[in-house]
Amino acid sequence: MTSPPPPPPPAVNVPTRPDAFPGTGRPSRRWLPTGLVALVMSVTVLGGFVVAGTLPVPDVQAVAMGGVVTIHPLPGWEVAHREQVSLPSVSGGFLSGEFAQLTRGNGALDLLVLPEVGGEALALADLYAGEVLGHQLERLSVTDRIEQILLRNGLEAVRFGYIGSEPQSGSSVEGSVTVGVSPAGNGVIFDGWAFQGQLELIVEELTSMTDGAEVA
Amino acid sequence: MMRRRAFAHSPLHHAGFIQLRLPAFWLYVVVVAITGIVAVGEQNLFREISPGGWLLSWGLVIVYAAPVAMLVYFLDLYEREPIPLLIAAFVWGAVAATTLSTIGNAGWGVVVARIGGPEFAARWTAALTAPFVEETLKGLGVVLIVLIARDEVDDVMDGFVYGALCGLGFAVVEDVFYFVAVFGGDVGGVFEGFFVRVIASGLYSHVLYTGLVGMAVGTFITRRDGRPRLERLGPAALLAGAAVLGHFLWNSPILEFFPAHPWEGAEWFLIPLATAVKGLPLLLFVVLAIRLAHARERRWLRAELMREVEQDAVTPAELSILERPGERRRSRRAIRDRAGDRASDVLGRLQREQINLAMVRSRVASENDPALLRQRALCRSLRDALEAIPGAGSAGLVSRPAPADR
Repeated sequence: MTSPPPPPPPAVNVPTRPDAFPGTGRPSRRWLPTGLVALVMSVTVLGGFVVAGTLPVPDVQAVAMGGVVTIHPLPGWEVAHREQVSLPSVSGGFLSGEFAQLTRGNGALDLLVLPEVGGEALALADLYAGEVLGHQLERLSVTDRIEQILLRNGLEAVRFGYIGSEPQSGSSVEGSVTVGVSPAGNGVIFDGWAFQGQLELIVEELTSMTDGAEVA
Repeated sequence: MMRRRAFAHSPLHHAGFIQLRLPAFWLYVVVVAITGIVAVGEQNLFREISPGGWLLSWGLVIVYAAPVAMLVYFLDLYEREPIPLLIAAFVWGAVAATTLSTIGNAGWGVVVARIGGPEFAARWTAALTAPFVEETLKGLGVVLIVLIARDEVDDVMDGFVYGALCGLGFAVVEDVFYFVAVFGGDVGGVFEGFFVRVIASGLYSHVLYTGLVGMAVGTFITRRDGRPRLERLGPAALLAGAAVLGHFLWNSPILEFFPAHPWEGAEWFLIPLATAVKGLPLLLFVVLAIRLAHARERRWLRAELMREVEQDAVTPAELSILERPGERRRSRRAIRDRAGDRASDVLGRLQREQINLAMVRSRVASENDPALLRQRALCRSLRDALEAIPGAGSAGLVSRPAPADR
């Protein structure tokens, strides 16, 4: 005789979820607020450039340095600083020259002219990286690849990039240095730099001013 | 055996992230796609500059970001936000807001330089541009999330969660930038950057700023505030203003006690103090704002569900448990011990649906709205199902009110 089967466990009917509520409908497309978001975004991102364009720009004359180089600053660029400088040479002496800094707020172009320095552009580039950038910036990294270029004015030059940080503020600086030595032996260094990834935004203007410089 | 997660989705979560018919979705996609190209290019550059440092940087920021993201997620006590939308907020902050901010900061930086001159610009550009540009662009990410999934953003805390995650995305990418580009990208530099930007400053960063901006958005669009929108504009502006002010103070030369680099000896201990001077007031403000938002949510839940007690959709005992997330967890543990996993799962679902009931109540105009009646019926039937499980109905956790109380 077999025993009766055990009673089934009590049924637990978990109710199913109701469908989406009636009347919920499809949401409206909300074109107007989306358009407003796009507008605010555009104004925030590009508005500064538009407003800056309406502000008076100091009229900057061509900048001539030591009879060696004349540069034509683009609108918005102004001379912030000029001075006579000297820097140690590889041979142990000192090289005298003239320094000028052009700026447009979010970036700068440093110009260094070394009359009758002679030698190769590559050696001058090494000197600038070691004796100037190496002392001005911390954690300096210079690109391995050095580009050989021909400027619009016919000057053969070398170009390298760098990244480092300012010792006082800790701000990151990135730059592009163009170095040339004219047939007359005059050395000229263009160092275009900017803070925090903003070099890209001014690189065209830097290139234009550098390439358009007149070098004796 | 894996336990089934049968009831993970709330019926109120019917708006996902992918909304092909909404222009806001496409605006989000287009902006993230375009800025993503730039962002990937930048990361590639960092990887080329310092492959090891770049990897280490990402490892460290993930160690920091993962618990912060969890904390933000769990700060939302009653209705956790859908993961895809949270990821969307994070990605907006990490990709779109960072890239667009670089351009925006540069443009407005020129304006500052033209008006104030180069020397003024060198000291004040970061304070006068980034707080306005960055908070606007990150806040627009929260607004886009609202436009894409309006039903998911109900109140102030929801806004905080989306805003904080957007800010976290921004902070993570900015930190990697700083570790590699500012602190040198070698192992020592990355750890130094981690100390300065995360250990000493991590509590006061973009998570707070954009959390407040998100709260401002939540305050403005909330469904749980009877006041007209115009009256909510003031509190919303106050929250957004606090975010901008905190960011401004952080970037400005005011109260600058940061020791000059390179740091040696006791100067390392000065760094957290210097960051606390600027950041601690805002942190305290945010903590207060979150506590007020939690209290406001609790009041809202109680007010909505008190009216459901007489409908038998919620019992007074259940309501007192629902109000406190810790009690909810304890009640589920207790019922699991008494009646097993199944009972705990059903109780968990009952609690979720009762909270959803409060949300449905706040969205319908009439006591007889079919949606409300249906949700009520669902709650009652879930309780019936729970009581049918042997051992689950005791200890008053799901006890029905006496007829006289109904």
